[in-house]
Amino acid sequence: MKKRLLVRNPISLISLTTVVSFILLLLLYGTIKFEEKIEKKILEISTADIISIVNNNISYIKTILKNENYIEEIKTNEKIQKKIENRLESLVTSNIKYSYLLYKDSRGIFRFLADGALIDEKAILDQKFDIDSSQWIDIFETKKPLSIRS
Amino acid sequence: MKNIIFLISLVTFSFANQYTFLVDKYDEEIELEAKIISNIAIASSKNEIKLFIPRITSIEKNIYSKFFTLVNNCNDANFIYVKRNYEIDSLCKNKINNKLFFTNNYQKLLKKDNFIGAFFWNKSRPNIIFVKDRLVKQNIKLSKDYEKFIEDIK
Repeated sequence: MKKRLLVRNPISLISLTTVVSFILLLLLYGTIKFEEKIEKKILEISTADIISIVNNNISYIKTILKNENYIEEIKTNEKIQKKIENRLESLVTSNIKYSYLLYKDSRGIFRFLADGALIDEKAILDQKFDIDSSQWIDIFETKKPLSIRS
Repeated sequence: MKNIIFLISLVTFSFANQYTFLVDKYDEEIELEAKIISNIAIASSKNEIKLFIPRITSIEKNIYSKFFTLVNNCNDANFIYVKRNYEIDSLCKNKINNKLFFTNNYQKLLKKDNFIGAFFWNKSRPNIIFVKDRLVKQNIKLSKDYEKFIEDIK
């Protein structure tokens, strides 16, 4: 009976289709927004943990550095350099690909002080590291963590 | 119904090459490398570049030939880019004085004096290094754009 009514009255069929489409679009929009919210939350939680762990390591590294000129101290004291490197090595996981400590020389070139990579991929002390992104310079200037999304 | 299925299949096969994105990405990486090496070679030499890459792959051959005149042996080349393990001395039969050698390995650059520089990926970033003394020895003067890549490695 209802089927006949819909076939005979196309306007009610169009109205019904419009209402259903609208509900489906609302659902799709809601799902996308929900997904974005969840993604943002997951990123917040995971980066907050990483930042806390890195901060703990920074505190430790600060305790072993005695001189104000810490760049020279790391360069000349192999024991300290090794200790820092061990700390950086412990940070590398399947999600954290790289962990390293850089400094900027008088020519404005970034160089490695310590690298937490595996032996084959490890950068040596004072090795140049080419950086051309302004975001990296920002990290160096502000000394604050920065999330870069590509 | 048959026509609709035929049409869907036709459209799918027509756009199938888009799903080979992994292969395309790999090619892009070699292409980027070739472009950088091309710029480096042009900056380092005034003569026409005749490039030799020991143990070159077929994909590299296709891509590098867009930017260079490729040669099949070290003796005919004036620019040699060593990407894989290869002994320069035996490779060039000691006629290495008038040729420029470049590597993709930082350790090799430090160990072997023949290399004037290196281009390599470090922490997923492209890195270029020229060795100051070796550039002077080969009488190479790079433009200001390349100054930041010159290192005083002893």
